[in-house]
Amino acid sequence: MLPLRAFLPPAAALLFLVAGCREPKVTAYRAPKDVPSTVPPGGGTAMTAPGGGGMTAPVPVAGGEELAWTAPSDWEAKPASAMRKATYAIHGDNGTEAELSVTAFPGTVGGELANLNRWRGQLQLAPLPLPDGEAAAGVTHLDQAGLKLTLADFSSLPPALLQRMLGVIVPVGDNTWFFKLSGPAALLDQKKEAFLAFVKTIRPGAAPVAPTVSVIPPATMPMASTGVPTAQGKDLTWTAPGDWSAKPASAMRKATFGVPGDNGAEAELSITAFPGDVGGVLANLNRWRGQVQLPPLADDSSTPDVTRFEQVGLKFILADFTGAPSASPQRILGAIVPVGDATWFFKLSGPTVVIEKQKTAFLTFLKTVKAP
Amino acid sequence: MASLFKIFASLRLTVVLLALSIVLVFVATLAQTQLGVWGVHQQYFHTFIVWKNIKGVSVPVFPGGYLVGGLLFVNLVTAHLQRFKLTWRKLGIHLAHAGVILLLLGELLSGLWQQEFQLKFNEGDTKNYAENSRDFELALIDTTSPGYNEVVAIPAALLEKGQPLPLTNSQGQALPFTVIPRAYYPNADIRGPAQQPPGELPGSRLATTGLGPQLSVTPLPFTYSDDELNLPVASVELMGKDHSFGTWLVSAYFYLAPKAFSPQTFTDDAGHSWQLDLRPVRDYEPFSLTLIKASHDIYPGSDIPKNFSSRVRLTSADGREDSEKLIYMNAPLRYNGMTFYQQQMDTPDYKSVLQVVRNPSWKLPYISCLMVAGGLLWQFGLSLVTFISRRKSSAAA
Repeated sequence: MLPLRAFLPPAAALLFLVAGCREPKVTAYRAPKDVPSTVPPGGGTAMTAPGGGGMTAPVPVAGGEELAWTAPSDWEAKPASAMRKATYAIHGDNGTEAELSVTAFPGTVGGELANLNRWRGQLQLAPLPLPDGEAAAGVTHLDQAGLKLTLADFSSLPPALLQRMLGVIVPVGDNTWFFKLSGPAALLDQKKEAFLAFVKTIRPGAAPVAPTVSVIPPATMPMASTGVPTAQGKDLTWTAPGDWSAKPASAMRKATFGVPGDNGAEAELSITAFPGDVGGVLANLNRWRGQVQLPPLADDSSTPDVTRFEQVGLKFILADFTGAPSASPQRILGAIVPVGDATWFFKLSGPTVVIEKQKTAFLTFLKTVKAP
Repeated sequence: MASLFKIFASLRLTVVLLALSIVLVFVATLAQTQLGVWGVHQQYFHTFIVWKNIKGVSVPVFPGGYLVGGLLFVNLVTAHLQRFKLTWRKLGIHLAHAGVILLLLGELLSGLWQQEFQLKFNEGDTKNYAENSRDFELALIDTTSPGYNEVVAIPAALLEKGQPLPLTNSQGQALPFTVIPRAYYPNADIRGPAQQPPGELPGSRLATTGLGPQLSVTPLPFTYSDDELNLPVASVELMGKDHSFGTWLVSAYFYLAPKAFSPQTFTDDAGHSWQLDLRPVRDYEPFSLTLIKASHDIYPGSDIPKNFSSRVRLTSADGREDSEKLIYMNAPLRYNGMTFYQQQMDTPDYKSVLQVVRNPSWKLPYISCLMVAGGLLWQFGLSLVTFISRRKSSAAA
């Protein structure tokens, strides 16, 4: 008979054998519903300072000369941040989303090649082997509106997540601007044309007013926001020209007219009234300037675009703002009229050509505006 | 049997095994440059045999960590049993050997029990589960109830086997369909319609419904690299009693890039809503962590990290624990048998990533080292005392 201890070593060996075999098992359980994660700072992409290697150190943002652009209307402008000049969300099918970030930093930020390679690094691509200026796959150069643009188009390689990036680097004065569109490759395939059209609108000038900076625009507020009180009290009266078509009034508007131009083009006159001074004349003028992508005014007395006149006891502040040049330039011809405790707004907005044609008719129309 | 006992107890076997383990550690250390830590663990240590792929054929080339370690363990135990004599003089040797046995046993238990996960969150997020970024599961989620999800999770290994899987939920009720795995790729790239080079697997061959038919699949080699992720893809058919709910293409990529893909859902005959996710294996905890603040300090004027830290709120399901904790480099949070280390900061999708390790045997290496040290101290101390007393007696003589 073998001693008991003779069985111990085989038992120990068996223990080790068992270690090698672990059977996977199906599990079933009840779990609370997933709560979508809050968006990290930077809206889903790491907020990376150029050359900063993924750090979130405070980075000086460029001041000085600005760029302007015109984004397609279906791109959703997101609130600007301290780091960003602008952010747009671009939506695709099935809830997919890409993001365009606009940033500007002082200096060359390490140079063009370093920045292109930083973008390549974000897609886990190898750095470009070529020095600045030489042709590289996915990089093109473009001269436009006195600016030198560098366009990059990089796609991640398998097995990295399938991402694509379309980027533009623009040196402006002492600063460098970066326009970076990144997102799922399938979505960027569809949006490349729109992005290239957008790139063509990049020009020197003031950046469009970011949503966080603009005053609440009463005249353009969506109708869902019916919480805004409209002015009570006696209404003004007016007589509109016969070729302006009256449109149905709404809760927010005192009146709306379609103002025709040539070839079916149309501008719109909206007449609104709100209690109080609605932030003051300057804030409202700057709100209108923002709508045609003009920089805000420091004061409203030193510009020829703003004039004042008085008639039958009413004070009119007349503004004529022509938007920056673009594919479809816009113009606003507006009058602000304080009446008692309320402020009235007459805003004619639309394509520049229509406003030009109707300017005299609008000024004549304003002469018909009377207090009751 | 007695001769076998003698072989296992022999000192020669110990020397051979120690030599083999030196070679194994050396080769594995060299291989680490290509395979990474996890790959070396899997291919050299957590295996009985090290296999080498020579011209497409797997050939055994060396004993693996389990075999060498296991034999060493058996050798030590056998030798100990054979020569065991309880005397004060030998107590140190016994203690040191018991320490080494415990060390080997600890490694075995770590291999068996240790689990590693990641907990990823942004400020304000609360999570009561961690995810294993190496292992994946197909989660069939009944989202009908407004208050909770009824989840059935199938490990990827079972999808790989390809056997039909009749399933029951947590209440013991049979699911209205059987899962039939049709294909499984441990790592594969998913491409959109505009990016399909010739030679890829069109999704229409792998799926009849959902996202699959518009996509294509390129199988890729399995990666062991520390900085690469395997993204498995599977094709599964959900077969009801008298009809199919379709063949679906599921990819971990869908889950990890939720902004790029909408979830794949369908409704069964009883009106229950289902969602399919191929996702990292989840480990639900009886407590939750909320990320209050993640701090990433750098030395002024440089990019050199000075400190990563996450301030979290720990709330247990039973209400006994509700407190704030600070996790930073070298100061992990230990709670409920788990250790939370600060692993990453400011990843593209998450502000803070914690590495979560559950290892019930984490204390064993410390205990065994103390035992070995104690045993050696005892043994050498005893020799020293004997030596001094002998010198004293010879001097007296």
